[in-house]
Amino acid sequence: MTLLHEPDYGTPASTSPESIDVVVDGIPVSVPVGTSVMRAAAEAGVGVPKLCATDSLQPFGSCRLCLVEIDGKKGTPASCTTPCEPGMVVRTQTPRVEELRRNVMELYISDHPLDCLTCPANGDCELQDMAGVVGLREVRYGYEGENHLDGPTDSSNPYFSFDESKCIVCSRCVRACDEIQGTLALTIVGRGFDSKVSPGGRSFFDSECVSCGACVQACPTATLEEKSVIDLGMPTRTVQTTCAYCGVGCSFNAELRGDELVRMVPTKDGGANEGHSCVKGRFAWGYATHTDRVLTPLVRASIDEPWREASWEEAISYAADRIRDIQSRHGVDSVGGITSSRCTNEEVFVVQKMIRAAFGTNNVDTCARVCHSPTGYGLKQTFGTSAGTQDFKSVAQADVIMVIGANPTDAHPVFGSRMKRRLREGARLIVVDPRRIDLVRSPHIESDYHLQLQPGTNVAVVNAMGHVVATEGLIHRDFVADRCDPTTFAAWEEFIRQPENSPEAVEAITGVPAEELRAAARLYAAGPNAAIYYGLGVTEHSQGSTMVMAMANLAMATGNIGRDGVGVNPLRGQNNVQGSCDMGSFPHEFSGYRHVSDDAVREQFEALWGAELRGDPGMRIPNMLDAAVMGEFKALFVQGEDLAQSDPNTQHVQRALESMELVIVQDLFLNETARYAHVFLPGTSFLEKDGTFTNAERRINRVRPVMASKTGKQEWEVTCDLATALGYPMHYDSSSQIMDEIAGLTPTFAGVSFSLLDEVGSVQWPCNAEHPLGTPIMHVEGFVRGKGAFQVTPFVPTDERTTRRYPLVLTTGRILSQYNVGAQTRRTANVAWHDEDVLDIHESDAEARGIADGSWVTIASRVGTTVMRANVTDRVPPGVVYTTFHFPDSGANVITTEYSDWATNCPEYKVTAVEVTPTLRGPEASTVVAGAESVHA
Amino acid sequence: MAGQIATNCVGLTDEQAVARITEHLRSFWTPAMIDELSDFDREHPGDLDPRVSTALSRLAA
Repeated sequence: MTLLHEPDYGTPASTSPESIDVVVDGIPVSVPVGTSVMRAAAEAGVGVPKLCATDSLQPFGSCRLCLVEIDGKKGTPASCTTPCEPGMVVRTQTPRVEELRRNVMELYISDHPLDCLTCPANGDCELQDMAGVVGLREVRYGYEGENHLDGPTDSSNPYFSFDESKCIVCSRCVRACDEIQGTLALTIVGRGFDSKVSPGGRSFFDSECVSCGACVQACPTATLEEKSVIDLGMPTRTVQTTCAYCGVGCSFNAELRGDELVRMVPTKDGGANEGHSCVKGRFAWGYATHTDRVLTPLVRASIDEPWREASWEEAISYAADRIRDIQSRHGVDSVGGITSSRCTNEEVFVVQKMIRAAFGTNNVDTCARVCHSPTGYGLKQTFGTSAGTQDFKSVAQADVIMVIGANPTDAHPVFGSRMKRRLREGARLIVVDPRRIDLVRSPHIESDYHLQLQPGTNVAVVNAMGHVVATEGLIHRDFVADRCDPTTFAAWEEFIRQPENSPEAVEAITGVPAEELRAAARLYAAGPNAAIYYGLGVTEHSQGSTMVMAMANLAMATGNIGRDGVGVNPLRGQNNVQGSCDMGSFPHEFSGYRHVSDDAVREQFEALWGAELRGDPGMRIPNMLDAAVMGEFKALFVQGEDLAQSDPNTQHVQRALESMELVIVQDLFLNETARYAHVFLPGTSFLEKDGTFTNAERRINRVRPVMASKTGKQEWEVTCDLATALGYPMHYDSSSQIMDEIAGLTPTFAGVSFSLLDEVGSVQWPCNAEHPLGTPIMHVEGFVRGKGAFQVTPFVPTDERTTRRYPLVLTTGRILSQYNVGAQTRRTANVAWHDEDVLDIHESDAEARGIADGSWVTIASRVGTTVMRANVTDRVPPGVVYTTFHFPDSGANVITTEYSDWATNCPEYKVTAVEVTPTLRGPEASTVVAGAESVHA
Repeated sequence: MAGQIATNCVGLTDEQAVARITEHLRSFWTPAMIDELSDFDREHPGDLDPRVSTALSRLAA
């Protein structure tokens, strides 16, 4: 249930291009073939009473409330399950159906608590509404008979409760879990009067439920209700905004009482999510008002001193004076900054503007360095643009889906649900991953091929697929001839046909049986629509960029670019990592991915910004850290990032930060990086921001303030104040003005404005005169660079090798309930599901080392050691171990190395040689919340 | 890092590799980083991949 009652047409829309005409209550209406009578009535403005039907789910016909009369048809069919026929004449209100509906409602109400006035759904209950609509005035059965009024309440889930006494067994929740989420955690047990909803015979918390909230949203009564509504009461107003967790970028209605957030409800019109959500976006927003939030600027002269509260003026002035002092002694390039992948486009844009125009250096970089920078490099080299090619909806047209180095059901859950829906419809699936991710086998889904490769051999596997395509006559020659550069194609074809690229030649190093690899390649090439979805298991390697180009080669060679259902789709991790890159956060590019050395582009920025700008590339994050250790880089502005936890080789990061004279952190909490900071500028949560995020499908969504800034300032205002204090006046009246500046300087954003987004909801860039409403699918008529450029992609093994001392390979990833460094999710009830990082280890490796499930283990690499609990599992193959990085205490990055992608320095998180040994004790100060330093002197 | 770039030029002719390395350094490295590598090359002749040395010479020209 929701406060904002978006129109519910009862059954899903038909996509048929043909129409038929029917008459409902005397009103003629034309509807697509396949439309239900219920939906046709709704289209005609006639509401048919309903309880089990809702337009996000397939019709079920169980409640018997939507009965109608149809001329020429016997009886009173259910309008939800009856398709329209040409010339049909429907009557929704006749004495006969009205009496039947009242009888049905009598039965429902005879077995339902009559506590409406104290029920949490009071005023927002469809059962209540329908009782009124059908004109129920008495319940002739009384309430003394057998009933379910003493049904128990399951409150095991931290966010919602299931009150069995109020359940009308409409099965909307079961169907929502099946059709929308695809987890199939719920079922109806028992028959007849004994029927009831069950999460598999266990509590909700202990079941397979992933707490996405789809059942809560679908429930027409108070049976499934948010605990926040039970505690606080019904919301009274709503603000539409965008989730700040992953790169799906779900649209939500934030429902409030005053400025107190009651619940987040996914919007049906959300371009990325279309009414669905996951546990994080739906429920885990409590961090925004957590007591750990720092709301006042802090300063200190040395990191050995305690923090001291300061006014904004003092903190800004102190920071500016220190920056200028450092530059006067060590040079202009001794300072730099890192933009956030979680802040808005507008906030990021002004930070990189400050660094370039006010600091006077191009030493600006972003979190994408450590995740999808190879995507930017690889897709730019091949296609001409640093972003994915499709929208999320495109997966519905895919015939073959290849998931490489990604785990969408955990890391991009709402998109994962879309993918599962398509797979249940029959699309074929190839999974390329060392681990057995859920997609390999889960309810109603099984991969056709799981290429369980050895970590570090991605390029060999995809090259081998390309070899099969080239040598078995599977190249789409017409597409290649029409759309691709012939010279680069010829070079690639000659390269890929070499015997050393064959599946047989690489089998020994990849661990993938040659025949299986050949079969997978043939399946992909056959399509007809084959799509690649990939994640950090591709990019976070020493050949991350090479792998992106290899996938692009494969897609071009098989003609899988430029239409629905195909493409090369990076699943970008963070809510605005795409936007951060778009906004010119890289040291070598202005916004829109134009090189700083491009005189015409630079002069355009200089003219508007009124400052001379550098034409040479600045330092990347790894370069800044190395230079800091060398004593040459002295000051760093860190916007919304926690590199002391998220970046590899923690000891090196710590040494670098300690070496600096000034570290400025702008964030919500005192995080690991803030331990080394001298100035802390409190930031705003997404609930307080006013701006835009750009998701993984290039979709620009509005982020609207749900509550006033708890710090008293917007983050972009703070950045402007700092720039001004540095002698570079920067002022905007609103964040909308910042977007106007972005649009004026960035061709791919030329048509974007807050007013456009308010009008149409969201747009996918490029959005310009040629595409005023955006571009869902790219490279349709031609590649952005003109002709697609094949790249020769030789496999070069990583320098990180297993040894006798470190015989296992560690790879890392994410889990559903936690998010990245956990700064947000560790401060919510999500810790109930995952309160520590654990190490997945194969049973044979565990047995050989005397490791028991749940016991403490030491994980050691050549760089460092850490301690975690072991989870003995067969999800990982022998020789591979796996962990997540959500908790600072687990120190996953204490053991990751300095190796990185050759082109972009993206760290090779996915391949670290380790040994795992039993240990008696866990890590010191084990806690589920990041340590918060005292802010008082 | 420069050596890694050169290593990933497997399959290219020397001239193609030099062109790729040159373009990469020009596009993504700071002038200070290029100078530092050039100094290293002068002080330790033969230690770098020869294609990297050639690329550095082209950048200096």
